[in-house]
This record gives sequence, C-alpha cells and structure tokens, in this order.
Amino acid sequence: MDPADIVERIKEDASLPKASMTKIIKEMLPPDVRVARDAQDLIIDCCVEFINLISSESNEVCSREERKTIAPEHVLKALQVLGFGEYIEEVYTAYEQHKLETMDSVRGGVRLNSVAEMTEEQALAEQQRMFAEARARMNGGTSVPTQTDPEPEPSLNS
Amino acid sequence: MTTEHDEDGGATTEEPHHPSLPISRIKRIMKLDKDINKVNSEAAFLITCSTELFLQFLAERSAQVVLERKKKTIKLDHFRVAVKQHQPTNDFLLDCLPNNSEVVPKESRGSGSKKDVGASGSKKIEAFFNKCS
Repeated sequence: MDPADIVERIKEDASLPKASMTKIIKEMLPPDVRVARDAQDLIIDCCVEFINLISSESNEVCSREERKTIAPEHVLKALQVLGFGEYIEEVYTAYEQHKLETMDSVRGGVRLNSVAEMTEEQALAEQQRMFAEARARMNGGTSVPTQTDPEPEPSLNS
Repeated sequence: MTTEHDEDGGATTEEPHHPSLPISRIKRIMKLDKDINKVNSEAAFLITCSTELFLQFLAERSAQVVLERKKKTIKLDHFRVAVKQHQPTNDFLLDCLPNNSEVVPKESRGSGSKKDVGASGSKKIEAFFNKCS
C-alpha cells in the first residue's frame, strides 16, 4: 500500500464514517434542504471534537473518583458539566433500553415479554428511579461551572 | 434510531436505542488520547448516543438558520451562526484552539492533549472560527 494511502486510511479510522453521518444529517433536514460539502466536513470534524471533549471530561471525573475505567456515570456528569445536560435524559433512556435488550439476548435469545422478574411497567419505574438517583448525584456533586441552558426542555428530536 | 411498537398510540418519539454510529469507532477515537486508559463499553455507548444527538442538533440548528434566510443549501456561514447561538457548543469549539485570545480558562478541560491524527480537524475548526472573529 502506498504510504500516502496508509496515512489516509489512518485518518479515516480516526474520524467518523461519512456515510452514516450524512444520513443522520439528512434525516434532520427538510426534504429540499442540502448541505454544502465543506460544511458537512466541518460538522463531522466538530463531532469528533465533541467526542474528545466528552471523553476528556469523563476521564477527569473518573480520575477524581480514583477509578481506572470510565463508567456511565462519569459520562453523564461530564455532559452536565459541559453544558449538554439536556442530552442526559435521552441517552440514559437509550442506555437503559439497551441494557434490557442485552440481558434478553444473554439469555440465549429467548424472547420474553418481561425481562427477568420485571414487567415493562416495573422496568420503567426502575428507570425513573435511576434517573432520580443520577440527578441527585449530579446536583449534589462538586463544583458545577456556570453554564447557560437556554432550553429548559430537551427538544432535539421532534 | 427506530421507533418500535407504535401500536399503542405512538407517543414515543424517535430515541437512539440503537445508535447509527459505530460504537467501536468512537471507542477508537477516544483511545487516541493517551491519558485515557479504559473505557467501559456502556460509557462508550452513552458517548456514541450523545455524539449522535450533538450531530442532530448541529444539523437541525443549521437548517433553521438556512430556512430563516430563505436559502436551500447549508453553507459554512449558516453553520457558524448556528454554533454561536448555543453557548456550550460555541465555547468548546472555540476552546479547542491552542492560542485563541478569547478563550476563557475552564476549570476542568481535561489534559488538553492533542492527537496527531486529529490535529488536521482541529486546525480546520480553528481556521473556520478565526475567520469570523
């Protein structure tokens, strides 16, 4: 392989897949709106920076707790601190759902209406309880830098 | 991002239960930072979902700017305006610059380590935002 190709390959590996990114962007736009190529590239780069930002902050939170592995609660705290608290509820919901589905498949792919001893209602209640816990942890946590939060309610997905 | 089981009245909005972005790729990007040791796979999942939300947010806001101006194609200018409208996003995209005089020192901004491979992306962002100040 040509050295230039190798470098190009490495750069791509360190970025996000263009096709997936483009698809997600398009889903958010009205049907007749397009994105210029250079704007699209910049958006993708900004998302990579976002990953760096959240990872870095999560790592800080993790270190402060003297833990070695970045865990979900570190990420949630990082989102809060960096001004992206409005994402917390949505990503946490996805995470809880993901956990339930993972538990399901671990059980040898047996599809049950209820997971373990929990019915869907109980699972939802459990989720709400964990939300409250996470919120309490965050609110009771150490210094929270000033951040503007113009939208009181998450409204990212309509 | 799929809606499942909408028969019961479809109150569910689209939630990223299954992120469209590859978690493994995001984990790889994270690991490029030498200060980051281990990442729990669930944490990587959360970051993947967050990144997807962020992307949607950027796209949505840019589209709003474009529509306000009665245009059809999102250009760099529209994206720039959209970013400036959201303080936290504005802060971090400017803050990733090495020597921006407008940078307000953050109390916790991580190690600030720059990865060689990601530097080209940062430089582009730097050039982009320096143009408008």
